[in-house]
Amino acid sequence: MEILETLVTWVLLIALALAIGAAVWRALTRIGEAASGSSTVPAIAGVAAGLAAGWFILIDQRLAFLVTVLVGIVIGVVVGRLVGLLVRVQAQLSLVIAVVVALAVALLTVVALDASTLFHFAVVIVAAISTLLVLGASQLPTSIRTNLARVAGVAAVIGAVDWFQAFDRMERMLASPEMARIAVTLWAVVLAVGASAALFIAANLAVNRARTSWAQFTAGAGAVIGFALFGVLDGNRLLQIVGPRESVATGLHDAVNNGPWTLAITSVVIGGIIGYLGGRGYGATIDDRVRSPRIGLGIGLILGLVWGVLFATRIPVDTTVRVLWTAVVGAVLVGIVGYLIGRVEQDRMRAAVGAGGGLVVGLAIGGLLKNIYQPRLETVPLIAAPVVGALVFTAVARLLGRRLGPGALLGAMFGWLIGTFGYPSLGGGPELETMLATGLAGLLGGAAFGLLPHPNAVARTAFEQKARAPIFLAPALASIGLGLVIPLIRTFYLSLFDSRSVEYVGSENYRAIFTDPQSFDYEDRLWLFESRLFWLALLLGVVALVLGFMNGRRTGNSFGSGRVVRRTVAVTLAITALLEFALGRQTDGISGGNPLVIAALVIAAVVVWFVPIGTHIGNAVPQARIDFSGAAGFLGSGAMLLFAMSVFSVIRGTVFNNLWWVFVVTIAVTAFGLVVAVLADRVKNEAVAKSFVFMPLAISFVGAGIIWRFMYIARDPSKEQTGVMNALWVGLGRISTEGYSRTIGIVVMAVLAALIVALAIFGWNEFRRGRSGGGIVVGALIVLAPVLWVLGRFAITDPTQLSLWRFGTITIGGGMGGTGTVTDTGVIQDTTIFFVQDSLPFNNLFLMLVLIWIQTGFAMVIFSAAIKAVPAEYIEAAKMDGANDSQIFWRITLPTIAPTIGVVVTTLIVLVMKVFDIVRVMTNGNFETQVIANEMWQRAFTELNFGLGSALAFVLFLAVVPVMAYNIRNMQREL
Amino acid sequence: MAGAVISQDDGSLTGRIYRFLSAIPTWALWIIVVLWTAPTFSLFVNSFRTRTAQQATGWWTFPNDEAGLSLNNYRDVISTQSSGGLQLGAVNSFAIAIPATIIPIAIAAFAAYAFAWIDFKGRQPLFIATVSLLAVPNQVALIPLLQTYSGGAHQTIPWFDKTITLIPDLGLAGTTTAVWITHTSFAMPFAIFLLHNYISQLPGDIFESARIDGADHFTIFWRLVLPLSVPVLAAFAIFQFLWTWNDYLIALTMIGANGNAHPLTLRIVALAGQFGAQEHLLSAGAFIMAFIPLMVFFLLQRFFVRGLLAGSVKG
Repeated sequence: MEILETLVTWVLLIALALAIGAAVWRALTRIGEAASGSSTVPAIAGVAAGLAAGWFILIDQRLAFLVTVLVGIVIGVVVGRLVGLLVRVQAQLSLVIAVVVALAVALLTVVALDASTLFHFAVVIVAAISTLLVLGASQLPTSIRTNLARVAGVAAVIGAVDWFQAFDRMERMLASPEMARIAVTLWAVVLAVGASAALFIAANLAVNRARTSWAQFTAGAGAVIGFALFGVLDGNRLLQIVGPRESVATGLHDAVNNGPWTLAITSVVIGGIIGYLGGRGYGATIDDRVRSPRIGLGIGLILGLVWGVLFATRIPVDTTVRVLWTAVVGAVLVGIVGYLIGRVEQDRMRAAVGAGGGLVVGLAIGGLLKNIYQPRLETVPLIAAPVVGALVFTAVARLLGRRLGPGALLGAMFGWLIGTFGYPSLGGGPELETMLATGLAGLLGGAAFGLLPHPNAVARTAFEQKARAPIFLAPALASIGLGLVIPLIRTFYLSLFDSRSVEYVGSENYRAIFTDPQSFDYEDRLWLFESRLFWLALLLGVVALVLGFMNGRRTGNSFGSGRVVRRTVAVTLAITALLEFALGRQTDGISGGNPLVIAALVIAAVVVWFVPIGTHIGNAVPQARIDFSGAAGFLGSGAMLLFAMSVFSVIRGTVFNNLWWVFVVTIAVTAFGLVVAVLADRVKNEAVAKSFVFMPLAISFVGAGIIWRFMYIARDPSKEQTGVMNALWVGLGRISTEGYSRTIGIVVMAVLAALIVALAIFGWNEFRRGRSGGGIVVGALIVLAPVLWVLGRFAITDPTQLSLWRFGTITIGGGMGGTGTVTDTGVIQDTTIFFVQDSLPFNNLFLMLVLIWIQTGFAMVIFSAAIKAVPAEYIEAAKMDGANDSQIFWRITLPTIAPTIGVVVTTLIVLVMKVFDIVRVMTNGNFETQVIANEMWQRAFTELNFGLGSALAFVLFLAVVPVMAYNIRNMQREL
Repeated sequence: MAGAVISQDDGSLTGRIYRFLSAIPTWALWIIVVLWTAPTFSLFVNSFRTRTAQQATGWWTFPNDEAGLSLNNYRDVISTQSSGGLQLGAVNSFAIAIPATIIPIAIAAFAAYAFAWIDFKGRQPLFIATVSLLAVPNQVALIPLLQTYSGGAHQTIPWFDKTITLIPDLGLAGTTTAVWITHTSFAMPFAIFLLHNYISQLPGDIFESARIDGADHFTIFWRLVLPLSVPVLAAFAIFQFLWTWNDYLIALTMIGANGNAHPLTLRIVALAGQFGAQEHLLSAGAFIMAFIPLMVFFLLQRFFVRGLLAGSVKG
């Protein structure tokens, strides 16, 4: 519990820091309404704030600090007033002086004295000078004063939060591994966000400069290149610190702990960004009042975060400057060269400067190279490679219509590098030769850049325009490329190799998947014709078709005559024929592949493809007086679902299971979502109802799996059931088989059946009188069927008398639910269902139920919004024409939201195709519930068969390619 | 859904029957609501019941429990080490979910702006290609990514016979860092899609006038687009947070056996795996895991729904 308390304290504290930071910033932003502002000054102020924040950690005497800050502010106010009265300071100058003095004092204290007791001086000085200038130097521009006020505010907030740190509890807390992990994580976030923001902003600023001041741009670009080049070539010292450790995170943690410099630099960078953003808040052109507080808020959050992180890591004074010095030197060196190249306008002079600078840089790099990288030069490649390189590059430059000189030089440089480092063996070469190799490469590269023409204003503007898109896109595209696209290609590559990715095996892995009897198990396929589901589906389908055709006669819109429907049916028939053909040949002993069946299917397919058969049948059925489109739609979808389930229940295996998942879950979620959305539309408390259906979406698949595990629990039949499902099942069994409750059940069901029949008769009378009672008749009859079925299960308990009704293994009339067996002593024993274990093949269905439960809310929300977006005029117009609710739904609402249904269906297909968590957590693929994603995980990560695992993953990818194609087509149409 | 031609305020039998029938949808709705909530509710109730009560009777009998309801399960599941240390799991979940939420937003916002408002060659094909990656199953990238995390990426250059290291071995396998880096990449297509949908709908006039005033793309992005996009950024943040908090597959793959880095999902699955002794704590543990997403969900539902809709409903 202790750790929980400390955790809570921690969270509260950070929240407090964030809140205070945000509030102060917001208030200060409001105070300082600025007319105009430059971004450089606040950037400097931000740097100061960052420094203050970074060093502040070393403060020990908190109360003393707080008092000092307060006293400092008071003194600052008084002195500032006096100064403001006496002297007229020039605004910018005073600021610069203030900051410089503050920094100098802070730096001196770091260097000269034991830092741990003195850093609050830095903060105090920053706070005091800023406050002084804000309040005292009234002639300063408002924008500067605002930013100074921010600096002062930050210092004050830091002081306030630090005061809280004095609690002993915090001290203990900081030592725990949980806290260390939080600190490291926050650090990683701050560093990652800060570094990428810094890079992004720097790139943008550099490009901004390109238009106005070319030399600054080239200098900046050179500095970045130099930093990276030297940093990497110097044996990656940063990685040396990080690398050998357990992970980057802990390495980072250590680096931070060991180096105040790392911290200081990070703080400065972050502070700079903050200041920059703060300054950017004051634009002359746009409505400041809307934006500035938000920016202030964001800054406050970042500051709070930084601070929260900072005080978690106490820093002993130690030096790790070595890590970065070569990189910094490189940045300066290459930056100077870049500046010169950008500055010198005389062509020849520039080429010379470029060549000379390149030579210096090259020699410096040569000096840096470690022994193991020093080459032993060989004459032939040394001469051949540059020549070839120069020729190739010249040719390319010629083709692209660029200047030949720089191209040839660059080519020579690359050739030279290949000749010196690529071809010969590395390590142990003489240092002089190394210097020669790098020096000449630098000379050539520098000269190539030096030969580039000095761009005029037009060229620079064009460059700025062109450079912008890559800068904005680079981070995202790099992330996608490295994390998604390249791994995708690599997965395909690995799938062509054996389990250890050593030997090329071609399509062997794919063949293994598709010939594995575990993937496709169609042994039981003839059982289809004994399946009650199949016959029920057939019955429903026929009824739906008849209703549809009757409706079609009425409206002249027989759906069976539609080309799309016909061709879909035809293709389905053809595929069935093909399957019959293929499977029949492979399995001897089972009378599949019957040539007559195949011929019949093919003929049927051809007929359906060419003949508008629906119209013909439609002409044969009587014309309907009422609208059956709703009933036909419902029954048709139901028939489809049942049919698919019956098919999937006889054809099993990993791949088919996956298809089963996709089919059932997609259809069920879409249908349920639509039903709930329609039901909830314009009902009182709609939002409440919807949010409860929506709620499972927030629960993880793992959590849902556990929830449903409790639902599905089966206990020994002699004991009380604790799972809801089995309790219901057993309870139903008892009611329908035991004594008087069974009699009551029979009576209730009989009365219900009579009522429904009465309702149907009533509807029929209404219908004959020309009123719209037809729907009631159809509805009543549909409801009647299950009621009669239940009645039958109640009433007839001797199965032997009704062997005619035998389908499969269960017998109608044996009661309902866990009917149980009668023991010798006459005691009725219940039976339970092991839902996900052995209720084959429908255990898959009980797993799918979990996903349906989760996803229905998703479909519902989207459909609900789409239904509300249907233009009211359409519905008004339809009502004027006498359409009823059902007609409005099927004829207006549904077609209008069709695109939305497409989106939901494709989203669901993609989601369900890769279903993993539920299967893994609930059955781990046992009991014939395996799916591709789980199979892939087991092959790849438990058996370490990367070849087969990759192939399975790629199959999963191929399965969604049609969806991708559909999405792409839609997008092309929209854009 | 029955015939609407019959007038409703008709006092006749027909009218009464009609009213009865037309109320069915409302009843059905509330029945569905109850059915949909019952599983969660049952878990909630069970998490307060004692071990013996949970094992002997169903949750619906809780008023009869002799021991009554108590918070003991919560205390036990948090404090005992045998439960696998849920507090560390929670910290790890945050350590994954927070970076995996913040970082993609920053990166995707730039890209979404570029796709929406910067003119460049090949913009549309590139955008479509990026967004079409939305459908790619994550499984397809897992093996190469794990290999990179555990050994870096190296390429042997043919003919020269020298191996260069493209990505050094950073020892990321088994850490939460690997998980959020992976999440960041996987989230990118959806993030760009969602943010682009919103950002491209922002009024272009403002940008036009800003441009006339001399603002460059960078300025427009910082000063105009980001502040105006706060709703969609919030929506995506909620999504991504729920996603990463609830994730199991990526954490399982990238962290593997390193128990110190397991997030809550892995902890709970481990708890569910030890049948018997700890099973009565499972419901409390699962509820702790679900607590934060449910809070996020109920408090920020508006943003969440808005985000969902932004991706799918047009007009």
